[in-house]
Amino acid sequence: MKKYIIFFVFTLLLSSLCLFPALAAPGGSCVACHTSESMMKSMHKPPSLPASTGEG
Amino acid sequence: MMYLGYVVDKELLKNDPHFKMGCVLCHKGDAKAFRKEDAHKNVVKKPSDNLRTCMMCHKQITERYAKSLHFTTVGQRTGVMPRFSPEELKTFDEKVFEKSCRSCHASCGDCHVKGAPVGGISIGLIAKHKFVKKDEGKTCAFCHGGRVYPEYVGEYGGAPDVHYQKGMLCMDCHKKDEFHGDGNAYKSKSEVKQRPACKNCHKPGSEAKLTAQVAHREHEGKVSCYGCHSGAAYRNCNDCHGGHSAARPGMILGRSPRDKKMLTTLRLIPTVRDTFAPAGIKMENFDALPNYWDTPAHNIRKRTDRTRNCDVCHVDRKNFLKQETLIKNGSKANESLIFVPKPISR
Repeated sequence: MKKYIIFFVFTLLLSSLCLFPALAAPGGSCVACHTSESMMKSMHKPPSLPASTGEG
Repeated sequence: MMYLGYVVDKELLKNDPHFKMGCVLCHKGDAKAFRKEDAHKNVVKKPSDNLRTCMMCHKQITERYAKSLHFTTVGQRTGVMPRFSPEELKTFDEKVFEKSCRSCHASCGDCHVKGAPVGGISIGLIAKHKFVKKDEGKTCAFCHGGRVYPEYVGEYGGAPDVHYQKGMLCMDCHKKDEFHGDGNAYKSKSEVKQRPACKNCHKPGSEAKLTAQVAHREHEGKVSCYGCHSGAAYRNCNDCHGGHSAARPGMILGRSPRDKKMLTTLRLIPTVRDTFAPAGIKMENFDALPNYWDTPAHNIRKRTDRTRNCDVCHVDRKNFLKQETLIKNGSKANESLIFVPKPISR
């Protein structure tokens, strides 16, 4: 049980060290995601296009 | 690769003053949220659609831009409204102009930050959210990519415009004051004072060849520069807004609807009799305007068949608008654009 508590606290501390600086930086989570190509690649969904002509 | 259009350059965050106050100043949303859906709640995708956003720091430019044609797009309304009765104009304003035509308006961001969507597709951020001064290939080329831009760069067949071959892009002729406006709310581009003119750079009388000087003197005030120097067929739009697009190449020479004394290149425009029928507009005065408008064809060449041989126009009437080539069921005003050149005495 003690081991689990130590592991849980350690994981919590580690996550905080990673997340809080990202959130504390100007732009917060916006910056954390939008400056990462891999993050954008995983989250972007291509739009479904309507049947319409383009402007010209 | 479309996801790259949403990636922001980290270096900009350190140096660009636009980012000093954080993303949420313009984009709203929640910068402290962990999940995408929560972070994007109430997010503003295009903050500059509301000019007050940019006005916070760029007051003078934004106040002028609010009246410019690129933002108001009122030129589209001005161009078609003589065809409507007063009741039809009201319907047009409510059902068509605000909901459809107006979607072509360009916000500040469409030219300086993110490419405008055309047909649902956008290239995304022009330069990873850098606020660029200009990038014609990613901005002008998209909104004006149906006609002018592909003609200019030669993608529509024929040779590219000689100015493009010399390394010139849109803003080498169309200066920023033309876009930002001068504070006057013009109703049409023909009213705008800062429009480019060939004579701004090509002064009459400065031609290297005597034949060119003579030809220009003889045709001054009678033939536009495009009438002789448009190098190839350009796109003509037959019923593009009717759901059954029929764009065809062609070069059409005829009287300018805006100045009947001037022979120029004409372009068939997409408004036909039933264009606005889905909105319940019959266009009671359809025949008030022609179906062809004077067009500054962006495919200029110094030497064309017309500059090489006078007979191409004065005898053959090549590409001239004729009775038999008028579009079917077109406006009665089209006939007034037919021009018959005088024979040359030799």
